[in-house]
Amino acid sequence: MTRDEEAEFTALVERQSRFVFRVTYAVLLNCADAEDAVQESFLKLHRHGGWQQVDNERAFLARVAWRTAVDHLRSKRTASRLQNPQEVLSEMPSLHPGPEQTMMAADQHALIHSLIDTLPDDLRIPLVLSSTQELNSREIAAILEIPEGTVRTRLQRARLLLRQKLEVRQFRNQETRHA
Amino acid sequence: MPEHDEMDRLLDSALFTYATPRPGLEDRVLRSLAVTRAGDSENRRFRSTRRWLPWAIAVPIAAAIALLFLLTRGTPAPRRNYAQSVPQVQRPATPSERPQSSKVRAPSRAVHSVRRQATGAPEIAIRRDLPKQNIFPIPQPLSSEEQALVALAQAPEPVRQSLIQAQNKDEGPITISAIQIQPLKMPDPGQN
Repeated sequence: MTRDEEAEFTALVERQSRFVFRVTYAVLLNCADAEDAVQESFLKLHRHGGWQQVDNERAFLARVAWRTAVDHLRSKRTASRLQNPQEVLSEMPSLHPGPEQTMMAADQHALIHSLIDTLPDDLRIPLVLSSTQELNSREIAAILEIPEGTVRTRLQRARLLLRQKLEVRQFRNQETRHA
Repeated sequence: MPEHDEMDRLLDSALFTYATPRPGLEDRVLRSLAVTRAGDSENRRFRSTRRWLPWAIAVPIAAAIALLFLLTRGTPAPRRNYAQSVPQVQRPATPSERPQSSKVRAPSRAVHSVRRQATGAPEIAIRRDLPKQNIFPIPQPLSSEEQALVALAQAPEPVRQSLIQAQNKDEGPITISAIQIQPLKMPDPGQN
């Protein structure tokens, strides 16, 4: 790699590492693992190249990051099962506090973050990818290798589910206050 | 409806701040990349310096195998010209003897193949034939006794007779005087 290319790559890391982190975190739900996956993704790009010739930089990076995170998750699950099957459920501490703790703190954003963490993978990942403004349904469909219609359906279901969960939490919160 | 819009706005804003990494992510990624790159270059250098190692193992092994193959295959017998190395002895020619000018033919390949099939011996066991000699068995040089006998036979008659007489004279009875051994003297008692 020439010096110019190195400088370009450094700029790419500075520009897109947060976005890549969001993608990996959506899959792994663990801050440390997500960071590892980010580093691994950029390392892959650095070794294999091809990042300069892409048309849609974000979609390309999202695909690389998603694949890396899925591989990371598989290897981690396998390793955890081999070590101690009981620890599989308690693994992967979330970046966000639990729903109850968040409710007490009355931080609505943190509450929604923790509710997003509880969504199933097939709903959470498209939702997080869609929240980044430069990725549309078609690009998300290409990244996840699913039909575009499925992406739209999942996005609607994810939003609906989040809304329901949030309403239930708010209702419980009001009841607690009245009591 | 306004409640739903409010909820959607809240969801969007929450999604926008979802999964925010710890500060300094870019620096950590770049640092780890630099470390990995340094490790990669180190590995590459190590691999390039150790490139001769497989050759250093493979070449002596190949040479040893080749040497072993050559030794087991059998070295050809040294071709010696016995006719030149052995001194020529004059010998009367026999009618059955072949003329010296006729060339000796080596056994044909067909004979070889028949022999191999008959014996079933492996290729390695077959030895090359020694060169066929014109005179067989090979004449050996005469010993000193033989040479003396030839000289006696070729000597003139008076000389031969005198030699025979001298030999007969020498072959008389041999008288050997009796051996006399002095008796041993016993040392006096008390003396060492």
